Amino acid sequence: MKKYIYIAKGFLLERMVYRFSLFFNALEKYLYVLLIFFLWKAIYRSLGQESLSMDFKSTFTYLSLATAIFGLFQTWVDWDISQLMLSGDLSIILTKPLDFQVYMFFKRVSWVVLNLLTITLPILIILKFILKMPINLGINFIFFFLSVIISYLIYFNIDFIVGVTAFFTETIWGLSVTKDAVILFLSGGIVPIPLFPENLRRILEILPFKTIYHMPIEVLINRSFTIFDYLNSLIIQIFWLLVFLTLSRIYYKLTERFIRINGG
Amino acid sequence: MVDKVIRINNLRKYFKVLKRREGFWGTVKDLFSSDYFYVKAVDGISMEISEGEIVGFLGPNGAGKSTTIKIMTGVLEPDSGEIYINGVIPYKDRIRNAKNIGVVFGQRTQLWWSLPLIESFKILKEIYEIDEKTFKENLELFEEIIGIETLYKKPIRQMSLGQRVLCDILASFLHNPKVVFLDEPTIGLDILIKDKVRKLIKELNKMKKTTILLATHDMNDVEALCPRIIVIDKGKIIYDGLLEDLKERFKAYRKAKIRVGDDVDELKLVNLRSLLLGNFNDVISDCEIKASFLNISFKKQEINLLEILKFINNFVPVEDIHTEDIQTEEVIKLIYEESRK
Amino acid sequence: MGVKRLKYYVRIYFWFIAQDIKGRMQYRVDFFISIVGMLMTNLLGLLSIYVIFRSIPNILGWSYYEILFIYGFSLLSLSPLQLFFDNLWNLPYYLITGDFIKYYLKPLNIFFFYFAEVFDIKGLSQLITGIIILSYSWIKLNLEFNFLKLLLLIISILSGSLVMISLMVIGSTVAFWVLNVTPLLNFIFRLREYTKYPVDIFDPFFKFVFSFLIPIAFVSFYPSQIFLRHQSNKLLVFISPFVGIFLFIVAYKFWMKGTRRYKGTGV
Repeated sequence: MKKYIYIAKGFLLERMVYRFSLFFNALEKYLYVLLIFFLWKAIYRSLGQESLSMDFKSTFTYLSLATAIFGLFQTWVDWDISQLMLSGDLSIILTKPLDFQVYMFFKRVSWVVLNLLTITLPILIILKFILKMPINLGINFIFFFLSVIISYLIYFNIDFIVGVTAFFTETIWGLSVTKDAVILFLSGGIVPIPLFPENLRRILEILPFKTIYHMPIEVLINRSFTIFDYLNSLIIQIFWLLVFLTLSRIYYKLTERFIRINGG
Repeated sequence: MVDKVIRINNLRKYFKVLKRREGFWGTVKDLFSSDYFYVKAVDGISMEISEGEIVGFLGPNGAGKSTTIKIMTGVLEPDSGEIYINGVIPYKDRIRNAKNIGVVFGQRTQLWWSLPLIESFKILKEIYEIDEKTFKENLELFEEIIGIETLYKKPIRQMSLGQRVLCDILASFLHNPKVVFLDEPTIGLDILIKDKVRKLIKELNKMKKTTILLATHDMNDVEALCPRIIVIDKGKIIYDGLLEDLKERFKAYRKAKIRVGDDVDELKLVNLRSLLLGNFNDVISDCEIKASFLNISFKKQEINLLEILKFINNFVPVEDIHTEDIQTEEVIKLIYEESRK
Repeated sequence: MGVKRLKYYVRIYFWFIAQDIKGRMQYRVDFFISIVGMLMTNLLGLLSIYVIFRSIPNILGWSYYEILFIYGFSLLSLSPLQLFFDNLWNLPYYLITGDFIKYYLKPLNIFFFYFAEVFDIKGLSQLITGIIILSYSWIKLNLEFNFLKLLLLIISILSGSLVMISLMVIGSTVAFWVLNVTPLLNFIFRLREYTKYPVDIFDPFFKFVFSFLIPIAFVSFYPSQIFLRHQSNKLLVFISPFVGIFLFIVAYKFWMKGTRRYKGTGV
């Protein structure tokens, strides 16, 4: 376990060097929040007789939180893995006494911390304390915290699966971009799930992607949630986490065997 | 105006290098800093090369070789001095200059990575506006010299380093340039391929009278190909002339390594050394004592080795002898040493 | 540059495109996946607009089909960037490895040579998607269609595309000084999200920023106004082509300046 922590530390330092990228990465997210603000303000201004199931503040908070969480999770694990696979450096890592998946996790977990500091926390603070958006900071915050952790684990596994696929394709650009776009859309990151028309909303409720952004956000801002709802939410998340974890392990083991048999 | 293919006069290129600071705030401060120092990459070099010559361009790393070549190929602009390649000033007329030159940077291919070789050649034909006849003639020539047709269908990325280098060299000659610059073409290659590459260069030079400037660290390249060498060190030319003359200059031709008995007294060896230098002054330029070896350098090609051995054997028992021609490398080293004094 | 020289460059360009496609065709899986990825992103964008408009009548007076029009228009004006300038993402890589030097050694303009090398065929899927969406909304809006309109359409799309291309080229040029500009490029590229909505949604301050400082409003909003709202913003609409050309000249010159700065060394 200790060795993994050292690994995390090492890559954290490496990341610090990329301040330029941290800056622009964060700026991009803030600018997107700006767009959300103006776009939805305009949308709500244009409502005459109609009304939506969420008011402007809720929608804005919801989508900004989605951006903040997306920013938190975005560590480009898929690109990293694909680079390792294609350059052959993967074989070097495989000779070490490490579990590759766990290794990648700890390698990138330090970036999550940086993302937290440069993107997620600032947005949360601005939303809550400067813009005075409706965010509860009670016991739900603890559940929010847990929820986000599980969301990240699910996201990481999806990222990992995409990255490993790099072995079969030369570039993962298409997959990576699709993955982000699909997850964002299907988890309410572009339009909040409650605002979807009935038939589509039902589909989204069944799909696993709502666990990634939608659920943590609901935990944080939904005032009508009870302890039961929080626990229910966590259980559903854990369920999907186990599904994706199993999928990623099996997929990885199969690919690893394939590499071993057929050469890198 | 005598038409020298390469004419360079008093060329200078200095680089401004920022004194970099540590850490994040250091980097920020650097943005506003005016704390520079100058690196004199090229410090007043002049040379003239005629058509059809193959000239070796030697120098330690950082001596200014690459910078000079980059100026000759139009990549960099000099700070002062004159330079004409085929009568064209490279940095002023980059495109026109490019039409007359071929360039190969060892290990970096300029061919298209995923394309079969013949397709790369075809694109080059379009880019250089090579007419059909010349194109066909050159391909036939290449086929004749090294049988390149076996590689036509192969993409560059599937080739070995040696094959890639051969293809890059051929590509640089495809448009019949007047000058070809080869920057370390044999680096990283195995002996067999190196030989092939050298043969290719020699043949192409012979057939097309192309002027070739060969920058290299490999002395075997030099010996095989370059009658004339230009040696550069710290931005200045320290030798420009024939390789043969270099040996003459340092009076370094052959070496002999003579092993004497293990139990020979050191003092005896020291005395012997003085005697050798004294008696064979006309033939021996230096004598080094290393453990139980006498390393003798001869300043003539023709020596009476037997006489010298007999002389030595009178004093100490000669156990073994090994002679060799002096390595070009050592002679070059001598030039560096001399210029740095 | 004479006509002969222009013809030369056009010929070489077709050679480059052909060879790049040939090269890419070897990676069939990637080819397929990239197209799917591009389609997915564009369709999801479309879907988002659809979902929003299921519950609302308009955005500040802009109807569903008008927003679709702007969206389709933006896909079209972003296509030339994708198709012809995709190599700009590789600039940091070429500069760091020193491979960039090869662009100086042929009798070709460096800007041309660099960007001609890569033709991103997946951009065609974006182009086609854009055409479909634009045509659909054009019909639904009952807009006039004739030869003149077609000509205007092409000009306005090209103007918009020049703006985005210029912004990205300028971003990539910074690599000649700073090397690792990929985060900056990502940032500028993300700005294209803004091109899909009417610039009126912003307050006056940001409207100014996105019209005149980082002029992404000229990528699709202003040019598309030639067809949508003839009355408003007349001046801004008609200077679109000039903005595009001006920016492109700036971007080109800046890039060439960068190539002069490059020392030909790797890091």
